[in-house]
Amino acid sequence: MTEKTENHKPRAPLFSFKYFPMDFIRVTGVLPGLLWLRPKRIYENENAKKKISGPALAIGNHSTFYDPIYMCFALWYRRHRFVVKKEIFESKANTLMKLGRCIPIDPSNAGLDSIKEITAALKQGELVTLFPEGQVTHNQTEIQQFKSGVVLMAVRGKAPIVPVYIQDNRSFFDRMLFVFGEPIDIEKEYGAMPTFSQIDEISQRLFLKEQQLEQLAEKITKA
Amino acid sequence: MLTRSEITEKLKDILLFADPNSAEVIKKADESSVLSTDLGFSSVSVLYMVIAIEEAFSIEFEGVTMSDFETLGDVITYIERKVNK
Repeated sequence: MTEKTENHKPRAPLFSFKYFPMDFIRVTGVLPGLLWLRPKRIYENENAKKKISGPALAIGNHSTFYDPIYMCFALWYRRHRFVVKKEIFESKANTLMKLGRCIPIDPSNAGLDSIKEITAALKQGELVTLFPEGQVTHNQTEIQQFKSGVVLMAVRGKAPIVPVYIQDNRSFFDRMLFVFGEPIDIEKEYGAMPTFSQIDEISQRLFLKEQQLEQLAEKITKA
Repeated sequence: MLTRSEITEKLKDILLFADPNSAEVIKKADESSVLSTDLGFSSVSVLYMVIAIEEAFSIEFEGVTMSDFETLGDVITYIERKVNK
């Protein structure tokens, strides 16, 4: 991406009342959490080290219910718009979800409304965070196949996808480990509108990337 | 003002671009073709089609769910209504 294009990326405003609840959580929860857990950050390569600015879709493995919090630690310098299951959004936690500006989705059948809300957020320069496995895996199984709707979201929102692996199989006092993959810019690699088979290919590529990041995490932990 | 046959042709062009591997099936498809069985569309394929239609026809799908579109004819009817509003 040229420098000129970088400069023209939409940016979310620095302050707005609608961001207040999320900013409050970031200051009162995420900052102390970072100090307590002192997470380690590992990068796949030099490109993965660059700070994420402008619109982006962060994806991660989903082995525990705490993963959204961990993602806040991983990309602490950005506000997150979490994509959450419709049932959770409509539960007793509804007010909290709305204050946190979460976006509801039906993982078994991603609807047009969810895609539009995610696209709108990306076009405003926000960071949208989701877990494309579609459910919590509770550490019982390997990473599940990714839902390909995530690719459509990135295509429509013209945003790169940032793969993050969260390693959480550790004791409470251990340092957490986050492994960051190189962002995938679909528009740059496949054009503005990939074909059906390319969408499946990208989805598979993201899944394999997440597995690679997991292997990298294991290698580092053993070393 | 677009006629129904013009919309059908434009829609088939979109689908041919999206799924060149199924070119024969798409060319033979008519308004009664069922998206999920005859064209082999998944929910993501239908979403893709909606996004591509919105851009190609400069319209916006509102107040509908993906289950509202069972056949190609349903999609064409919706586009016709929106384009010729």
